Amino acid sequence: MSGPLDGLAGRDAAWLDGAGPEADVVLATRARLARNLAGFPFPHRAPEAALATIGIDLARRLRALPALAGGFHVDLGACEPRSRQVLREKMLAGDDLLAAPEHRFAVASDDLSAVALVNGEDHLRLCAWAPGFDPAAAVGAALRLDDDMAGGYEPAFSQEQGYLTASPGNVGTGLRLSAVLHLPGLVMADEIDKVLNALRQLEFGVRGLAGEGRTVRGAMFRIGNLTTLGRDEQEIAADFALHVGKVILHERAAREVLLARDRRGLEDLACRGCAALAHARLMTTQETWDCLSHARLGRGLDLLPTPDWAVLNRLLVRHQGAHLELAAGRRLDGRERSAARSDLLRAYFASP
Amino acid sequence: MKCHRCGLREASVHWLEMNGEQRRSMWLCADCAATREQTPATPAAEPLVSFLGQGLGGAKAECPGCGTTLEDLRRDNRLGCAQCYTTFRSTLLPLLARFHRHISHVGKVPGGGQPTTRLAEITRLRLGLTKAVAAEDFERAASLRDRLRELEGPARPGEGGQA
Repeated sequence: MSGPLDGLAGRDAAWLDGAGPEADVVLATRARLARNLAGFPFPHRAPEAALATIGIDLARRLRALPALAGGFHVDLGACEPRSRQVLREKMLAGDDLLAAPEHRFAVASDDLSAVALVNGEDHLRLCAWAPGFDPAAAVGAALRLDDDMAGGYEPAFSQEQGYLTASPGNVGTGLRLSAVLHLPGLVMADEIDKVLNALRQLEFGVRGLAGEGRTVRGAMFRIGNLTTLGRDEQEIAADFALHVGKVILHERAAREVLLARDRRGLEDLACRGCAALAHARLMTTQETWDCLSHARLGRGLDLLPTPDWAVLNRLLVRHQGAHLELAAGRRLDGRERSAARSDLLRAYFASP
Repeated sequence: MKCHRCGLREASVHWLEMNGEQRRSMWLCADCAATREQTPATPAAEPLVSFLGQGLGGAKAECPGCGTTLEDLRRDNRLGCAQCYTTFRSTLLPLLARFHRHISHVGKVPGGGQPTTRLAEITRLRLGLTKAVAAEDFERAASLRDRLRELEGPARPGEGGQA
């Protein structure tokens, strides 16, 4: 595979640099706006020819936006499945875009902070990422992208229901805010179910990062709002900041309780994780998620001087299969993958 | 602790699987975790999506914009085009009310117009209501009253709750 995706696969998103607020618990925050073109059926009902026209036209306009100029432009139909998988591992694209790649495009800024997806579930989805926990910044950036794109097309909009989307679950503002949280304290203290249930009551959705979002690995959760209609963008952001903010506080409290109860046990967990990351010669996906999780927990509690947040964040993305295969330039079987993964991890963790 | 699946080996992995509302939490050994990892996952349906299936009656309707039928809606859980929102309005509104707790948009509008904030919208509706009552246009007044109730009425999700 040649072309822009090679460059994109090797690129670490700027929002993984660990420089944002609450970096010990939250990796990053994303705001996504769903938009459609007036006068065309939504992508899943649109004829091939319409999709092709919309795809080429929107992609061209997007590439001309100041926020996206000079970045990456990916024609998903022209990529092999492994390359498309890279976008999922980077958390940049979802199933709707990857399942039927024809006439689907992704346009991303050079630092991967702004991403536009064309002809997924909706004609256009504008995403903005911010490092750490920063809903206001993410929403602001997404709305600016939307402003810049306005005039380039006529959106499907009604006074009553707002921005019209293929799924009625996105109608209105079209705004979904989500954050990637590391919650090992709540998992280990067995309080995670209580917190997740409370979030559900408050109409937030929770997913894992692995296995199409259905499986939680390494205590990494993705939490996002489910309702998009009847509250304006600022109100959605404020609610999100309030409730997800509480989860962060609960997580820190749980960590402190665990630390007070068994400091030696936590130190052991974190140091074993780091030892495996630094020295093991075969690392499976599962073990890597766990070890990175334990190393993060140790780092968050100042139990050990592990690499900084940026390294821990980036490795969460880079250790996954499609990234390893793209870096190796060929298909890897299970054992080869484990070997390549351990080589990657050692390069960051083993002291020189 | 022994693995919840095989019951033989020592558990080392906390496993959490989610499928919509259902959640399964268990502790697994490394071997069982590796096996489970390969099980293909089916995408989880969101709550509204399941509402869609329930709410659709037997009425025959087809969207003139894109040819989507109620049957398609039930199958795809998606609308076919902007016009579907008008075609299937009566089916959709109760579902939107249940899922979003609101039926009308508040927020950004295209073309750089003034965004409708909740407060601005409420003020506008109250003004309209007063005028409609004065003009004895009770049908309009009733519709304005309903929208006002909808905007003011529901407790904001989570107020007083805990996360």
